[in-house]
Formats: sequence, structure tokens, C-alpha cells
Amino acid sequence: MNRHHPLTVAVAIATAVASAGGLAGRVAAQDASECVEYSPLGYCLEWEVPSTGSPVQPARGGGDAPTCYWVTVDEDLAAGDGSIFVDYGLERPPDGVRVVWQAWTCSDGSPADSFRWFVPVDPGAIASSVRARIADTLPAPAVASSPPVGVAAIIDVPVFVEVTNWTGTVTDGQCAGGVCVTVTAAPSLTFHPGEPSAPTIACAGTGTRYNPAGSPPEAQASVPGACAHAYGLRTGTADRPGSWSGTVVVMWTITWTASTGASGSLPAVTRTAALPRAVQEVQAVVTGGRTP
Amino acid sequence: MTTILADPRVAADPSSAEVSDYLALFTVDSTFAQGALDTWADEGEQGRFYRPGPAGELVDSVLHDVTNVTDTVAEFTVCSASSIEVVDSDGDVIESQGGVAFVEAVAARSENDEWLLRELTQSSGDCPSQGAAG
Repeated sequence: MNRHHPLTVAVAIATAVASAGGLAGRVAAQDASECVEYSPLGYCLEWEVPSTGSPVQPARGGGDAPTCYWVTVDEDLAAGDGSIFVDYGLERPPDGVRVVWQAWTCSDGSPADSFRWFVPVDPGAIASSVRARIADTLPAPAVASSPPVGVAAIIDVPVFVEVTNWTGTVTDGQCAGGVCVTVTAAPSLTFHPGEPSAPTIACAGTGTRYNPAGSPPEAQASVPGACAHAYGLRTGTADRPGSWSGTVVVMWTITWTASTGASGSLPAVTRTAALPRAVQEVQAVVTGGRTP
Repeated sequence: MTTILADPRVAADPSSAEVSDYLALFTVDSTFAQGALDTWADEGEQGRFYRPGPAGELVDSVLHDVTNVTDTVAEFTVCSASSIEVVDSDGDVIESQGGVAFVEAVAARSENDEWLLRELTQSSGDCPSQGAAG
């Protein structure tokens, strides 16, 4: 028998067909079906055949052929005399590396005549690598504020904070060993005013820019998610520092998903910018009024 | 196909000679062939590249039997011996696969009186055992 590559057999078959001369017979070609899984050599491993009035049903090789698939073998097939590597044209696994052995198995009980091993890929390890790459690109927050940085705030008048180099959600990915992992870094912003007992402000989005033409500062600062704080304690007195050690923190929450369906989270990445603030007390003097 | 498997990313380029040569083996607008190309493109995207294994050839196929023929369609079977190693982008072997596959094939006669592949299905069948050879 002559040897042919399967993709050129179609040419050779022409001779056989011509000599057969128009034999009648049912053609089992699957015009309405679709191959949903291919082998590395381009052979269909699984067909999906639509059937009238019901959802598509998986089938193989014409619908009534046995189902074949890779089945994991518990034993270490490399532990024998090594003939499997010669008989099946298999490479030996790398020394010291755990591999998974599988046999091609069909539901009709036909003997396995194909084997494979593969190095299982840890998508979490890929994700960690991508996380490190993302972390290298994440900047410390550049902060704009009202009053501007370095200008003292006034007691009870809100200070507004925003980040001007906001990255938004960052996504990166990497594929290795047949597994692709997508890592997402989602930022969130918090403002720590620094004065004793002041709450941490969880800010929406990039923070809040004060609008001088808008509503009063107090109103703008009371919007949910506003990145603002009205200091209540002046600085520079005998027992207080010259400024409160405020900070602006951007924290990127890291999550990942893999093409295998696995998913997870990784340690967040945090970047901090100092925002010290002196606070003064303004005493108003009312003039021109009538004192009761 | 061997060229495509060496770097499956080429399968994503419809203008490449490798893709054109592969598609030329199949009936016009073959969704089957395009599906195989899409699979290979995904493999390349995932960093999987194919090399011949220790047997020296990726695949060595034998026409096994012609099972059904009409004026326009022919069905035949092929025994396909493969020896494959899969390497990652660093060249490290991450998978090895070998053995004999029983393949059911369907070819169709084109308007130009050429026989072109319609589909290839790996199934279960009686091929000479690889293990017996050893």
C-alpha cells in the first residue's frame, strides 16, 4: 500500500472513484454539522449536529460512531521499560517535571493506540507573572487639590482631592503551555486626611474637582463618593504639628481569569502620595451690622 | 500543514501562502477547513508550537480503505501515525503525543472535476497497532 498524507489523499482517491464509476450509496457527509473540536493534525474530534426541534446534540463521525476522547491514566507510563516512547514516537518528559499521561480511548472498547503526556500548567503562576508586569507600570498618584497642595485649609471648609494620572482599569494577559490568563487591575481611591479621628474617605472614581461656579463647597462635598474632607482641627498649636499628614492612596484590586475557566485574585497593588495639610482657623469680623 | 503547525499563528493570516495551500485542499468555502485554521490560530496565540517527535515525522498516513463512492462524493479511511512534540515559546517541550489515529474522510468532486476534501474525522477503527511494532 502506498503511503499518502491524508490531505493529499483526496487527489489519489480520484483514481479510485473513477474506476468505481458512479457507485450509488448513501453519503454521510455532514453538511449541516459543525466540528467543535479539532486534533492538532486538523482532524475533527467532536461534531455538533443540529437536529430539528431540539438543541444541538454532540456527535462524532456521523453520529453513530463511537465516542473517543483522551482519558487520564493514573499510572506513570514512563516507569516501565521505556518501550512506549519508541512504539508511539513519544518524547521523554523532562527530568523532575510532573506530567499527566493520557490514552486515546473510545467508547466501543477499541484498544488505545495513541498516548500523550503534557506538563500541567498552573494558571495562577502565569497570573502572578502578569501581575508583576502590571505592577511595574502603576504610578504613584499625582494629586490635585483645592485648596492647592501647600496652601492651608480653613477649618470647616472642605478640601477637595483628585488624582490626575488615573489609570482606569488595567488589563494584561499572557499565554503559556496552552493556557491564556487575563489579569485585571481595578483601581480605587481613598483619602486619609491625617487629622486625629478623621475618617478614611472612600472616593468615587478619580476623586472630586471643586467647581467654583457650582454649588457651595459644603454641598459639593456632601455628594456621595465625593473626595473631600472638612478639617476640624487647626495645626501649629503647641501640641500639634505644623500640618496633618494626609495621604492619597490608590489601590488596584487584582483578579485573573484563565482560558481553562479557572479564576482567582492576587494581592492588591497600592500606591500612596503624601498630602500634608496645614489648617487655619479664620475668625470673621462682622462690620456694619447692628448689635442687638 | 506542517508549516502551519510549526508556527500556528500563521493560520490567523488569510493572505498567507500556507493558509491558501491548506484551503485549496478543501471544497470551496469549507467551514471545516476554516475551523481547523481557527483552532491552529488559537494554539499559536496560546504559545503552542508543533515539532516532529522522535519518530521524525509529524504524521505519516496510509490510505486504508475506500468505503463509499458516488459520482460526487467519496468516503475513505486513513491510518495516520503521528509523533508530535509541543513546545512553548521558550522552546521547552510541554507535551508529546504519538500513536495511530483512524481517520474517516469525505471528499467531494468539484465543478472542475477535482476531488477535494470535505472533512476529516478522527474516530475508532482498525489500524495496525503502533505498540505491536515495538
